[in-house]
Formats: sequence, structure tokens, C-alpha cells
Amino acid sequence: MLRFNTRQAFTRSSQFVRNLATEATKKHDVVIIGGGPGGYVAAIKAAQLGFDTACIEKRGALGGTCLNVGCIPSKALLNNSHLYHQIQHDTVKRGIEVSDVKLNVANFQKAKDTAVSQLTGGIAMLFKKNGVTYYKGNGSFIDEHHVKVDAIEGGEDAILKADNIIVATGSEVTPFPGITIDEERIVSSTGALSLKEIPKKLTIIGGGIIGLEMGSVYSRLGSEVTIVEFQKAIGASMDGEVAKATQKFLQKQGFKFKLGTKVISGERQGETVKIEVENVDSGAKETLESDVLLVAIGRRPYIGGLNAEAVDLEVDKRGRLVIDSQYRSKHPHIRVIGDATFGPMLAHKAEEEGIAAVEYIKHGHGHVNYGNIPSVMYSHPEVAWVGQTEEQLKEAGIAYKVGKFPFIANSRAKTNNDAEGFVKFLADAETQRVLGVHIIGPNAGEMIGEAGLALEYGASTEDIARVCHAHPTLSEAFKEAALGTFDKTINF
Amino acid sequence: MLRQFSKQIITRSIHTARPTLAAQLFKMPAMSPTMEAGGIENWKVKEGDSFSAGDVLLEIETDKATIDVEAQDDGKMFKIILQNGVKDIKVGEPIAVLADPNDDLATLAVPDLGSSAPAATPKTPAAPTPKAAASTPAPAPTPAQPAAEGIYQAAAVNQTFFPSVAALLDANHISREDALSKIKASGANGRILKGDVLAYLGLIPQSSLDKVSSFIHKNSKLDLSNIEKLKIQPKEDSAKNTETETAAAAPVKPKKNEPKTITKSFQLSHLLQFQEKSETHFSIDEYVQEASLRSERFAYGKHPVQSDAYDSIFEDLIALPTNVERFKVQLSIPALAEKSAIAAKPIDLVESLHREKDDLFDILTSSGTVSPKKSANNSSSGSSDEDVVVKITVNPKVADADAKAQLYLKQFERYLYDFNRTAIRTVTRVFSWSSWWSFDLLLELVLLRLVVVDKDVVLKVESLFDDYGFVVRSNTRSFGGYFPLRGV
Repeated sequence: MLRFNTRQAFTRSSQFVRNLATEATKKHDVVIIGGGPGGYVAAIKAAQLGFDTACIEKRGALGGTCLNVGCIPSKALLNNSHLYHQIQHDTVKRGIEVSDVKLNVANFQKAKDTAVSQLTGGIAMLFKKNGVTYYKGNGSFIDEHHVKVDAIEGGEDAILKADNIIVATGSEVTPFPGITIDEERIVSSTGALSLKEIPKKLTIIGGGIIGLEMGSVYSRLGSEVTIVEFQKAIGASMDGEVAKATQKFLQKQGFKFKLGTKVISGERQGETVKIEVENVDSGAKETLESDVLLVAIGRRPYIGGLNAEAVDLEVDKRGRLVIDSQYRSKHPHIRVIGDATFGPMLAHKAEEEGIAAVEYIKHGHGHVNYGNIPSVMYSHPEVAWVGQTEEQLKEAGIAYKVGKFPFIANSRAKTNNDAEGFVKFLADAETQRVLGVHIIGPNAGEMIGEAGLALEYGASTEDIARVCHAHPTLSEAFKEAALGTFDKTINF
Repeated sequence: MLRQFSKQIITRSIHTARPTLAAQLFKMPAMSPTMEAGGIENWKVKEGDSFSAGDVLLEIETDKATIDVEAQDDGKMFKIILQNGVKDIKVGEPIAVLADPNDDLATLAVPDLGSSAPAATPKTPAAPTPKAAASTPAPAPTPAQPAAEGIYQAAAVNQTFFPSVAALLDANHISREDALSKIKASGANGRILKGDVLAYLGLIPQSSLDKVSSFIHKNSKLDLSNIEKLKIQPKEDSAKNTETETAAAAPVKPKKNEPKTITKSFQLSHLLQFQEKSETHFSIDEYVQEASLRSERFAYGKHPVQSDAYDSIFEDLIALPTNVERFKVQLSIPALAEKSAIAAKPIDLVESLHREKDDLFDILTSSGTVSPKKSANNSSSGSSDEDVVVKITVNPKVADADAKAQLYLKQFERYLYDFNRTAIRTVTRVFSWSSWWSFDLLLELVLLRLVVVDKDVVLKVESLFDDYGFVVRSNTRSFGGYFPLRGV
């Protein structure tokens, strides 16, 4: 049977040379360039609102970076590596003795791929269900109202005429100047998701969320992880106190941190990578040797192949497409959402913008609350936050009160023997309005949803403290921390 | 609603002022959050008149309507500053002076109108002034204040109060109706927040509420104020720039539409070694050709992302048919190999099994006695005349073409180097699949000595055979004639 397929493949090779004359012009109300979390959500919403909608994607699979090489695969690795680590180090204390624990790297990766392909396939189904026309290929501007589709195999070349165009081309890994990524020994986040063996030593440039998450995965699987970060603190936009606590927990897990350290060069030498670093303050140089080097210094907007020049779209100095508050570029009918433009580069932010942009087209108004976009780091303990940090409040001169409750005083966390971390509330000193919530601890990522609701409705901490929370749950810590901003906590 | 709102202004002024100040400025009330100025239509009380709660003090004319302003507490009109008919009075400007019902108007001094701070009574000359000033903030933020603009709205009538709001209203004996009509809401969609009630009750300064509300308001929007635009350069230049940039950015991503070629060479030494030891004769050329063909088949047959969730329906939707050409292979096999090759002879036994010629390959690759270490350097760098050179042209239009080409290379390498999967391992593996027929077949091949294995392995297989009481079948066609051990 396999042989039959192969032969068929050769007979079909005429498809390889495409006849451009067959290009057809098709008319759509809304054309979305990019099928990532921003683009595909916008496409579905637009179709639901009654627009004749098309979505162009050149990856060959929908879901964008997030689903294919980002959030989803990394979470599969994080969850399973945590399980492995727990079986190895933790279950004995709980009276469960497991012997002969082994890691099968191939199957470990397979579990990840399973999750990914199930989810990407799901989006294609949703397109069918909602009637979104899906063009497999690269979308580029011809003029303000025409987009050309250069098909990848399986797609068809086409010229689309559109009343409205939404650009949702996303972002790509920011390269480190002078370091060549070969995705084998020197990897980006993409390569780090599918290392074939567990490196003995893993060095990571960048102490942001991606670096710390991938570090967590391989640290649990036995790698010796070193984080090199130029800033004096890890965690990028994290609240300072939370970042410090996170660093402490990770250090306890075996992470090594080189903060305030500049990377000068990184070079592969056979099977190892040599990284030259320099302390920013003292100027002391050092050479690190590592089996794998992960470059995770962030992402940058990606508009490759878009031919944005054809319609003269403006970009700012960091490569972001310039928009107004309704996501409009200089051409009002061309809107830009997600990583390709301003704001935090998060899948859920892009999704919100996708919906809002389509609602602007339909109704003339849309809603994204940029003061209420949560961030989650899926280390263990998890870190999650939404709203303002203490540093931001100090800078803005807002008088605030802090309410904090440690999980060590929470019955459920204690029972689970997983009581690292705390919940921290920042509330306005006078009105007690919730300004920011920062959680480090078990299940923080799920708990932050309640904080988002509180922020969205303008709740005061009293409102949270007066809501009945189930006992015994981790969410009691959330309630108590809220109470702590204006009154005394009960259990601590 | 607005009427009651203005009433509240007066009530509050009188209440808070009473202990320290008898006469007090009555300022132009804000009848709506957006009102900036208004006119006095008609005073309903004269100077010296007493009034009780509920009496209409005056009618105010706004751009929208004429509204009665009622008093909620008892009091006396001390002095009317601005008379009937005066227009365009700014909100907050003093329009009258009110006194307590028991005050003797003759002894009261008119507050200083110049500074809008009310003057003290003669009895308490200096001290009360700042206090009085503090005690008469307009309960609403001055609408003209730009920071608070667009934040306060009339309270939404159908809202469910926050627990904190309900508790505060309850404690201060404010009815739901009063709250909805009098308290301006800073929450989204007219929701009254705790801070709104606190400021209304005078428990916190209005300025604090303004500050935090406008801070949150500001943060809820994307900051697009300081965009430093970068001019996209003329078309040709920029095309070049982005090209080099993306190349640096993502070296893994081949540039679309430009076929990528991969060249890799493989040493033949292991194969030659194996050929000498083998009981079965085969030609190197034929073996390599077959290996290439099979690797190709393997690559096409295999989903590049190995997954349990491989679902043909999904794949149909999201990817290309598996048989679309992903890459082309050009093989160059050195003539040197041919010299040492022993002429290939068809094996009678194989023929007797009615199997296709390429089964020879199965036989060879599913077993092995030699397990030479994989050469550390088999990349294109050290290619010599004795190497097989593979040149692959990848179809740039197919997303998984590169992955498939890599699969091909991997499999090809396995065929050329990796003889270390011994028969016994294959046997156990097959065994664990519970694919009895293929296990059976393998046993058969081993016993017929068609599979090149160690003596030990043969012995083990024979004992396995005994244990499970298999019958060697002579005609494998009955099982489909398909040997499934590719790439185990």
C-alpha cells in the first residue's frame, strides 16, 4: 500500500509546476491574513456575524505559534515532566513507592504531539462548521483591496478582493545578534520543544517566561539549568516581590541564575556550546560550557511575505504595525491585531483583539480591557498575575495597600503538601478597588481567573472577601489575601 | 432623579457644617456629570425665609431642562448672591448663603465671596475656615476636571450591588432608590463601586476616587501615544532587507518558493563489511537503490509529527494528501562499491515463497550480526569517493516537505549504518505487537536461515518457537505476503 502511494506521488508531480493562469479573483467581506489564535478567532467571529469570511494561513496547519510551537506543546512537556519529577522525588513522602522510573524521551515527545495535532485539527473543523473559507498559502497585499494567495501544496492560488482586511501575522523568535540557531545544539523555543535527548547542561539566555518554563521542563528531567539574564531580575514584567520568590523556588529546584549578565558570544564546538558572558557591573568575564543553548530573549512582530509596502503600512521602530484605538492602519478598512502590533504578545490578547476588530467592522464598537490581561507562567509553583504591579503603582503615584496570604496557611495546600507561594493583592488605599493580583503557588493560573473578573467589574477587595469560597480549597487563600488589604486575615 | 441629587448637595452641606459654621455658601450644583454651567430661573425662597426639608429652593436652568432644587434639611436663606435670570453660572460658583434654622441672621457674617471659602462666624473667627472648605467638596468631581472625564456615569438602574456597596448603603440607611439616583458610578456600564459610595458619604476624598478611577481608565486602553514610526524603505531595498533579516531570524525556515537542496553523503564501509559476512548475496548498488526507495516510502507514509492522534479526517482538512511530491532524490553510488560487490543471485528459497524481489531487503534490514558504531562524521563535510551522495530537492510549497526529507535521510542512514537491531530484538518487538502472523513469518525466515543472525539468536528463536508451539507455514502469501518490519 505504501508503495502504491509513493508511485502515485511521482505521477502527480505535474502539480508541482503550477499554472498561474488559473488564478481566480474571489470576493469576500472580510479577509484575515494569518490563522493563529488572533486570526482564526477573528475569522470564526466574523463568519458568525454574517460576513463572507476568508482566512489565509501558510503554515499548513492552523493555530499559529501558540498551538504548533508555543503555549500548547510547552504545557504538555511541563505537565508531564512535573509528573515524572514528582514520581521520582515526591511520592515517597506520600507513602507511594514507585521503583524503576524511566523516561522514554520518544514517547514523552509523542504525548506532546498528540495534544498539538488534536487541537490544530479542531480549528479546521470549526472553520468548516462556521463557513470560513480557508486558503492554504501566503497572503500578500496587491493593493488596498486585493490580497494575493500564493498557495502551498493543497491550496489554490487566488486573488481575493476584500472590503475589510485583518492582518494577524503574529511574531517570530527574536534572534540573538551573533548567535546562529541550528535548532540542534543552539535552539530557539521551537527547537527546545523537541530535543531528542535530555541535555546534561542547558544554558538559557533570557529569564522571561519562555526561558523559565523550558528550563523547568529540562531541570525536572535532569538537566543542569543555567539562566543568563541581562536584567537584575527574572520574570520580565512580573511583580518584583513575586519575581524574587520565583527565583528562590527555582533555585531550590536546582536552577542557577546569572543575573545582570551580558552574553558576548555563543558558539557551537562539536557537541558542546561555549557561551562567553560578562557581568554587567564588575565586567568579569566567564565562559560557560553547555550541551544545549536556548536563546529565549523574546519575540518580534512578523510580517514576512505580507508585502506591506504595497499598501504602505506604517511600522514603528520595533517592527510593530501602526494602528489606532480601533486597530485600523492608515487605511481604515485594513486592521491589525495580535503580536504584529502593539500590546503584550499573548495568545489571549490576540483573541480578544480578533473579536473586537470584527465587532468594530460590524457594529462600530468593540471592547478589550488592556488593564486586565492575565499572564501565567507554568513553572511549579505556577506564577500568575493580572493588573498592576507594585512597581507600576509606585511609578504612577497611586497609594495602595497590600494583602498577602501564604499557601502554607491554607488547609488544602497543606493537605496536598504543596504549599509554596502566596497570593498578593494590591488595592487602592482609599477605595479598596482591586488594582492587581499576583499569585505564586499551586494552581495559580486557574485562580487568576477570579482576579480578572474582579478587575473587570471594578470590585473592591471587600467584595471578594465577602464572597463565600468553598472549604477546603486553595481559593480560600485568594479570599483571605483580599481581606488582608483592609482588615485582618483570619487564618494567618 | 436629578432633583433628588441636588437636594442631597444641600443636605450634606448643612449636616457637615453645623458644628462649626452657621452660615455657609451654597454653590451652583452640578445637575449632571457633564454640566459645566447653568442659569438661575427663579428663587422660590426669599432672604430671611425659613425652609424645611422638601421645599423647593430654586429652579435651575440647564441646557437640557429646568430643574427644581429641593432642600432636604430645614434651614434659613441668609443671602441670595446671584439673582433670578443670571445665566452661565459655572458649577461650584457660590449662588447663595444658607444658615441653620436656629441661627440669628443679624449676627451672622456673610462668608467671604472672593475666596470661595466661607467666612467664619464672629464667635469662631479663624479656625473653622479650612475645615469648612474641606467639608464642602462638591460630591461629584468637577466635571470640567479633565482627569475624571468620561469615568462617572449615572448609576445603572438594574444593577446588583456589590456586597461592599450593599453593606455600606445598609449601614448608612440609604435606600436602593436613593443610591441609584444620587451616587454617580465609576464602574463599567454604570456600576456603583465601593469607592463611589465612600466618596459620596464623604469618608474618602473625592480626589482619591478620581485619581484611581482615571488611572484604571487610562490603563484599560492600549497606549498608542508615543509611536515612533519607521518609514518602510522603497520596495526593492526593503525586500532585500527583510530577506536577510528573516534569514537571520529563523534559519530553520526555508524561504518560500525557492527549492531547498540538501546534500548528504554516507559511508559504505559498514555495508561492505556486512556484505562480506552475509550469507545472503546482494549487490551494493541494488541495496542502496532499494534503501532509498524504501526510505522514501517510509517518509511519505509517516506523518512527520508522530502522533497517536493522527486522524485521517483531520489531516484531509488541514494538510495535503500524503502522496503529493515533497522532495526529489538524486543518488550517486560510487562505482568502487560495485567492484567489491558479489554479483547478486536470486535466492531460490525466496522465490519459493512467492515473494517479490525486494523482500531480500526486508530480510537484510530486519536482522544483522554486525553493529558498527555510527560514524561520527557522516555529514557532507568529509565526503570521499567511496561515499553514497544523496541530493534532495525539497518542494518549497509543501509545509512538511522538509520534515519528510529529514525523515527520509534518517531512515536511509539507518539502512546504511544501523545493523545493530538484532533479530532477537525484532522478534520480541513483533511478539509484543501480538501480530502473530508476522512473528510467525519471522520465525519461519529465521529457521530457514534466510535472516542473517547469530547462532545464539537462532537458538533463542528456536526455543521460543518450541515454547509457543508454532507451526512453520510454508506459504507466507496466506498472510498477505507483506512483511511489516520496515524501520522497526
